[in-house]
Amino acid sequence: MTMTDPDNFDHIFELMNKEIDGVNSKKESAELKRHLQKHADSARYFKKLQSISKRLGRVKAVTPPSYLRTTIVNSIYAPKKFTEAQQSVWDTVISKFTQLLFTNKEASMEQTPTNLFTGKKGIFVLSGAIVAVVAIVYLAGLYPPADTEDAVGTIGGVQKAKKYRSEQIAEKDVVLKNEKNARVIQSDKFQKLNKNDRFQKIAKDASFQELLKDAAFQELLKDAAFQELLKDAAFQELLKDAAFQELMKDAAFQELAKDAAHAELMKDAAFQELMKDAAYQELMKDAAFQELMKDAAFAELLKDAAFQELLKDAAFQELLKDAAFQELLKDAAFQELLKDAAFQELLKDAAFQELMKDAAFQELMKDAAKEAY
Amino acid sequence: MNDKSDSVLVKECLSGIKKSFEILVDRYQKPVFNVAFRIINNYDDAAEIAQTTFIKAFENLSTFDTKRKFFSWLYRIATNESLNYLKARKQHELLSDDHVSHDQTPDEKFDDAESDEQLQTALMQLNPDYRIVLVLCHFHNLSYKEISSILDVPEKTVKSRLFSARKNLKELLERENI
Repeated sequence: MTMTDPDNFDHIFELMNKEIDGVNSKKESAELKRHLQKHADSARYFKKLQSISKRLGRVKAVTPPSYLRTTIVNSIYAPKKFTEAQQSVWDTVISKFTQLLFTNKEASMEQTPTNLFTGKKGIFVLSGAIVAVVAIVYLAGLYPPADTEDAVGTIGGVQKAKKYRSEQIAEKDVVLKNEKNARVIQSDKFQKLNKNDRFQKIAKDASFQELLKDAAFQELLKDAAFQELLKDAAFQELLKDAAFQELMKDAAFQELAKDAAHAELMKDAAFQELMKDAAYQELMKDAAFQELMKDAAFAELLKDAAFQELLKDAAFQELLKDAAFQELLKDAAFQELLKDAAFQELLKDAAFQELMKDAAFQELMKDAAKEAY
Repeated sequence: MNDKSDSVLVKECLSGIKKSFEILVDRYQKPVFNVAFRIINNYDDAAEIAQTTFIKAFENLSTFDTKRKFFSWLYRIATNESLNYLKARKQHELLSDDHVSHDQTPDEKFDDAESDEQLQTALMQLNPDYRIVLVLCHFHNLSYKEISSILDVPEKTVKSRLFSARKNLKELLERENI
């Protein structure tokens, strides 16, 4: 009886496979064992099959993209199509933003139904208007409105807006300065983002609206690199995250967002890559880290030019993604240490970063930091 | 809430509690994604298949036979979607760079990652029917019976495909000297 005997091969082959799958009876296992003891070729064959099966069993599961859950859940909750009322509100929203594109913007601003996006200085210049419009609609998630009542509460009334639109807007006056950005508004990604009902709620938050009115933040919205970031699927997922939205509503975080130096940091390509990173986004969603970001001292640290340089450093960004280091970052005394210029230089060193990932060393650092400050 | 059985969650969902479906999504998004990924070997498209799988499951939940296991039904949708994808592509795709586990950092267990890559490359050269049974058996630890239920084929067919798949994979790996 050998593996080369066709009649016997099928039987032994089945016993081998069933043995691997753990479904052989004791009798079958014993029969296979006897066979393998007598036939070296069969034993080698079986060993190889076993090895392959073990290798298959060791293959690691792949982590799905972070946006998958949100996309699925949003699809479940998404309305099938616009209702008439929703379309009406969307028209109003469009009209509201379209006014910003008009050459006669000074007059338009004064008669806006709400003061949501107006300011004393006439905040948007024409050349940047479409960029700001896209970004604000994008961030505020005003499209499409969840339902009429909510939307009316958000934008100050459908009827007023319609009246305003009919009196103030003439098609010939509309000048789109950036067609690329106009297309963003029609893209699938954009529409999917704005179908998120939780995301829409942020638009109703007064403090977030204040943030939108802030000149530094508006400059950030107009920045081409930041717009690219906004178009990034992973960053959009971050924007949809309830915890991150809460963070955006937070006054301390908004203060940070308004800070011109921080806005510059946000425009930095390397930092944007960091913000797109799933692990860093997880960190940003982390309640404790959010607390840290809201912390005035840490916010100051984030505004610090040297620290911002450090944040742009690729190796440091890798370090930032390390879970243990993230824990250390939340330590108040360590935050003090982080502000030190000499220490920041040290932090950029690759070997030191490896050391920083070590739990015992981190404890040591915390103690040293406490003693120093 | 998370301790609820699949069947309880399905019933709650059918009664209008959409939140219960979210728990099912949390419970099965990773395995469903992995089924698709191992069959089609494309990270982004596997995510799309996983999304389609859950949406179809949600939309057709009323037709689900509650006597069956929910995950079997879900896997069935996922494997069918994956097969449809492959038919549409009409080719066995080569391994993309995306396959490496996102659980691991690049310098972590490099050997394992390399081994995974070699195996996935070999898997992609198998007939999709064979690949699916290997994926369900070895990556998801499902029994012949469960695989039979998912693929809607007799257990005998599952065994036949699985055994042949192992044999072919062994020969492929030997030929490639892996």
